[in-house]
Amino acid sequence: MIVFKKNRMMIMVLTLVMFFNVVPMVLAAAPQVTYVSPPDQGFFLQGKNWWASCNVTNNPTFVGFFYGNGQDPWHQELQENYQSGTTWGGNWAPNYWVKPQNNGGTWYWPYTCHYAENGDGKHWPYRYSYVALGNLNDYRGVDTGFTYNSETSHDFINVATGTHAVAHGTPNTYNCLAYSVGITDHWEWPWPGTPSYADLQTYMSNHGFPTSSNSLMPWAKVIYYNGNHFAKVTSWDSSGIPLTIRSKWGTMELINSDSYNPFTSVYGQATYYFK
Amino acid sequence: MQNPKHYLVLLLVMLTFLTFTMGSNAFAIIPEPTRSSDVPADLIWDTDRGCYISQDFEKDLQKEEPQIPTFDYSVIIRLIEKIKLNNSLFTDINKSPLEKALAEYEAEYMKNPSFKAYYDPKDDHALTILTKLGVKVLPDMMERIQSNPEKAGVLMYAVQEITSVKREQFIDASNQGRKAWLNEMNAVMKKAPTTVHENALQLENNPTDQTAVNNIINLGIFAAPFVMDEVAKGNTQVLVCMDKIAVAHNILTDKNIQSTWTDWTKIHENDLKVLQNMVEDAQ
Repeated sequence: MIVFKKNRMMIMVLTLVMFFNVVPMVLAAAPQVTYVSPPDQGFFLQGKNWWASCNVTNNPTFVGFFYGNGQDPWHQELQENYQSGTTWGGNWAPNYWVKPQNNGGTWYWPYTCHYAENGDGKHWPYRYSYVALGNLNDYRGVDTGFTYNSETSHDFINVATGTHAVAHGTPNTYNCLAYSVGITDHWEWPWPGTPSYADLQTYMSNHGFPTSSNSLMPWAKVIYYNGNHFAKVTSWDSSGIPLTIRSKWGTMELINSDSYNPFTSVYGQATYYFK
Repeated sequence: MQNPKHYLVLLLVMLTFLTFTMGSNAFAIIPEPTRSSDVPADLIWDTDRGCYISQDFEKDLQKEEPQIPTFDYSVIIRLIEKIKLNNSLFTDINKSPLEKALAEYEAEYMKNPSFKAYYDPKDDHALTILTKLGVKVLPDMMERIQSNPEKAGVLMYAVQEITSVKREQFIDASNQGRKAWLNEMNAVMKKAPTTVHENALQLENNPTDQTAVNNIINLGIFAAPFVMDEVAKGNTQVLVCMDKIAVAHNILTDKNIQSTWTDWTKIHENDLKVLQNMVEDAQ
């Protein structure tokens, strides 16, 4: 009888120990966030709304969506609202550009991050996203065929490099001329304004493109547009006619174009050809 | 499948599938036409797209795309916490007026992305954020141009706007370029006292001597303190230059001042002192 009572006491004590130690440990937990959207490695246009959402457990007291390049300043884009179940989210309408980080000439994705906190901790899963320098009209205003199907299906190749290196001394940025001759660590423009055909022939010859033409030339590798723009040809048909090009748009992004003569008056017409 | 009918059905299904896929481009391979000798050797045929592409581009494509950062990810939570504490304001406290203006300039400049392949200060509407700082930040600007290539180019344009000493052909953010431009500006400052004095004497003798006027005006705003010295000595003929300098340099122009240049000197005493010190340092 005494043994039975002792055992019963022990069970009660153990139960109480379990209740006061384990139960609070289970109940008190930092939020767990699952990143849902926007998609990873997307190019996001300004002037559009994007849905940002995540799933959060453990009763968050704050859920927010952040964007930045990993350096100060970091930006809180929105405070996410509870939707249903464990889903939180909100409309993201990016309206400014953050310069991506560059290290030794390589450009890196900025981050998007869902952050949740409660009294017991925080959790901040992130993905890689880039907000473009312009809106769709900006890009279509230069190339009416500019393709933007979605964040991950578009004509963007690389991020914008920002301010003019010529004026700002910013290292590791490049312009269309530099890119067309294989330079990506500085701006090139050795003329006071618009170059003459002779200027271009001399420059291009010195940079490995000795053959030039002022009419469409099969197998041309670089094209000059009369609005002071250059592009590299990226594909040719079987008779050597350029099909697609890639070029750096001023301070903006590195962009593909779906024909060799795609530009509006901003960059003008294909005028001189080099190979 | 014991029943031969089953084989027949399977065959029919396979034939239907093959007919469908052959009719579509799903598995189409576009063969390279007979390669002519004109096709550059570095081009390869893309059987999916049916065109020639550059081997180099295929190799470079990955390099040209943004890369996944390899930074310390804990930085994210530090930055978020900083926002949540709202202490980003603290970072501004120790910033100089020039640093604040440069940050403001950068933000404003990027609001109007430029498609241009080269920089033209005439297109740069944000430049006034820097030029409106005026003479008082000139020493800071010059120091920054000398020591820091970052934004050196745009500061050179700002200094040129403030001083009206134009040396466009030397603007280059490389170490060599910055040195050459600074040497040019120093040369102007260095000769300012003597040039003003000599040409003021010319003007005293011949008030219509346009060469003397131009010699002084070419010194830009650096001539101002020395012109006023000459005026203080009684040579008022030189004021014709001052008028041009003040008009050209709207930094020193005060539209409310219609009275005498003496009043003007008093109002701009600090600016003139800054300019005088810069010229003295250049000697």
